[in-house]
Amino acid sequence: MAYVATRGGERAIEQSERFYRGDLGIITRERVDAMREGLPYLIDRLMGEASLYEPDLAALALAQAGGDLYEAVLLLRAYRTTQPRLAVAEPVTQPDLFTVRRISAAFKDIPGGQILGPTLDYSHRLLQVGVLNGQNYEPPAVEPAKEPAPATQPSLAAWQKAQGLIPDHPAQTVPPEDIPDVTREPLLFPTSRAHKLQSLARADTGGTLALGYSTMRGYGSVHPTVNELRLAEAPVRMRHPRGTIFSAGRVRISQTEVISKARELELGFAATFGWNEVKVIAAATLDLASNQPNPHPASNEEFVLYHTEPVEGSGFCIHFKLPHYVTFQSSLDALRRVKTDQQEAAIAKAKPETEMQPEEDEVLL
Amino acid sequence: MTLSILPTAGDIRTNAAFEELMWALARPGLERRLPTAGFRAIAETLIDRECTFHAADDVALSELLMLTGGKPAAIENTDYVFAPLATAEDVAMLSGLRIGTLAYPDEAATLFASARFGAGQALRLIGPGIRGSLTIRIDGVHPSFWRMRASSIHYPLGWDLYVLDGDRLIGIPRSTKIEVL
Amino acid sequence: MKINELTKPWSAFNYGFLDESAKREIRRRTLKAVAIPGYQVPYASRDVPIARGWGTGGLQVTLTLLKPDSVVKVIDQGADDSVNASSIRKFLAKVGGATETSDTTEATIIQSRHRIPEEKLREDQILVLQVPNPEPLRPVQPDMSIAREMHGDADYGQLWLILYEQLVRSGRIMQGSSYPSMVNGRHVMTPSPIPRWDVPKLNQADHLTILSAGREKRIFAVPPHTSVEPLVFDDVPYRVEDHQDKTCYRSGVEGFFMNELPQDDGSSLYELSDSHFGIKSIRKAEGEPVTLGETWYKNGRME
Repeated sequence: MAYVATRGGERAIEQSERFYRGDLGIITRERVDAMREGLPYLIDRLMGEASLYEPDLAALALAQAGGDLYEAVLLLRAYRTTQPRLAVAEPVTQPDLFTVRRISAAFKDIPGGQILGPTLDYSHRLLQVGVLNGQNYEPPAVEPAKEPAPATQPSLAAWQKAQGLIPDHPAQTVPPEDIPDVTREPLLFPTSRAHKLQSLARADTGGTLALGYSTMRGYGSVHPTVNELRLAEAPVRMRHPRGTIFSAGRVRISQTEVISKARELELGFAATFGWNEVKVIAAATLDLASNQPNPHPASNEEFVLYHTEPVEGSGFCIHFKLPHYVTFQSSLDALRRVKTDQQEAAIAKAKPETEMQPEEDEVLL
Repeated sequence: MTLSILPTAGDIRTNAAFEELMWALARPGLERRLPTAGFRAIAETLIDRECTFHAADDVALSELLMLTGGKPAAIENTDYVFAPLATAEDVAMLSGLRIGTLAYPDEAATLFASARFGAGQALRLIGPGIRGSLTIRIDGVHPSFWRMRASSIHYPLGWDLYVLDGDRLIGIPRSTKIEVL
Repeated sequence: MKINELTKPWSAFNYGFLDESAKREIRRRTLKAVAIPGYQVPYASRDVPIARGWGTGGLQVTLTLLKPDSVVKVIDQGADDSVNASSIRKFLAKVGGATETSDTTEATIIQSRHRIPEEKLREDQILVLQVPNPEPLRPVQPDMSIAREMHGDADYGQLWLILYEQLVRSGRIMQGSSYPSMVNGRHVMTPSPIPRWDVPKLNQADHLTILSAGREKRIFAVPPHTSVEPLVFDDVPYRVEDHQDKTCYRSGVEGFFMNELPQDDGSSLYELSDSHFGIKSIRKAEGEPVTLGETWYKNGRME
């Protein structure tokens, strides 16, 4: 029974998985904790792309995937999908955010003030190689300002709207239950504002950067200025079944408004879980670009949202490793048939003249 | 973590009801048998807070449907319509059933109605899911209903129909052409 | 009222992995797909614990259909022991308690990538095809929203045009697998990347076929006894792969779709692509009491 001897698939996949996991070794609580504490910006990026805010689970996913980000996002998303939806949190507006960093490039100073907060923007990117020789790198402590910055800040866009500089879009009053949710409904085009911002929030950071960068560089009519960038902790407020609103904790978020002058001043917006400045600046630029008439794909919302989906993109990319020999066989058959047809045609043509036709020879190649 | 899971009583009921609903549309006109009589199994199998429903004047059914989390709505905007078909007035109420759009013909209503099988009006069905043609008899449906159905369906635009007789179920999708004999 | 009254007792996963709200959504969409044969119904397509592009669409449909008494067969390229098919079948058994089988005639649900088994499916069987790209218009219109309008208007002129161009350029229609086909005379669909050999098996079949693209979030269906016609010109007949006279070197069986195995000497050997049909044929030849189901093709020809 020759066929049966080839049936090694199940054992092979089990062993290859063991191979991978064996290389990673034993996953302990300590390893997970070290990842969560030592790699907060990676954890943030992961939670944003997974749309699941749970640093412990994100660190576990990272540990289990050995740091393969796409695998880790998939792990978290597959976990997320099994969780029941208990409630919808109250909306968060900009003045609600406990802001630790707030930058505007559009004005020298803004109402509420610029707050530099934690950043490496102005640091010299030097490796502390001494660490490898056993000298711990101990960063100098922060010297507190005389007066701490206020915990919350007004919205700059609100000031601009009051000045009539940018159009004011009245806030829609949608019951929380009725806000479209891209994780529970298909993404269709032209897309709703909610689906678009949700898709950008969970988009692949690298993909968002690549497409956003293309519009910034010139494949688009958008020349963005960062109107306001914030890193903050957003309060998660829930409504108790009895009606009272209570706090269920805070989540780290980043958000960016970019502003550009096309016909008038217009804003692009993006926000995501975790602190991830590159992602929200790029995503806000893509948001702005997609409202402008421009033939470049990075200005087309369908192109942008479909191709920055990290789980779909990475999954499809690696699926090309799967066997495709049936489809290949089918194409091969069509190609061979054309060749046979041409040979037969050549022979038929050659017969009466008893000479080869040079043109046909070329076709045969 | 172990994944060996047994279905709950609810899982068993809704999985079975779905299979019947699916085969009823896949084989129009052939009787299927729901796990329980009436609309309850259908409601819990299909409807939740993401859906709208309309249950005419049936208060008990409306209350049952409310429990699914579905939202009551006017016929013109409704996914799932539960309605009687006994009188000309009943039928006239249904002229506004959603038929979808050419780009999204699935954004259309599904109509559930009670009737008696095996007696009354003979109907000859042809279309996808039917080998050749099939003749069935349905009683308790006002004759104007079949005319109304024919004039409101412009395939692929149209609505889909389920008829119930106790726990017995017949599906008639929009793709089925009906000849009233 | 307390928060924990709003939900049910915690369990790691639901029966069939998907939660009830995900299943309800897939049920609603599947019913629409059956009601409008060949029309692509958009669905949310939840995340599942395998990568996108690896059968997540088929998996979600199968998980929704699953019952403890389901008997599932999963194949990839016709083979039950292909690594990804094994992985999906194990998952279905694990989260749904389903019985695994390789025998087409025993299965209640057959989930497949790129093939339809050679043994005829019965009217109580469901074929779930994994679909990478649900849009037959993609070669002429990559923008899905515009393609959708074209389906709405039954505007298939451009698709006919590329088939015609192939004919003019090569003398043949060069489409290998995924041959675009008209369903119920109204919607053109891709039958998924099955070879041309398998497309006629969908036409006026006894079984129900559900096609699901997880990454692209579209579900469509071919009910039993529904016309599925490959797009062809009146004067150029539809041609399946030239496999009718190939012989399987393992089983000696002739007249079915084959895998070609290149040999060192420049020649090729052929083996049955439907691997379990091959196994059964060998066993039967060796005198075991094996029942082969009726096949769609007889002597290399479709009836």
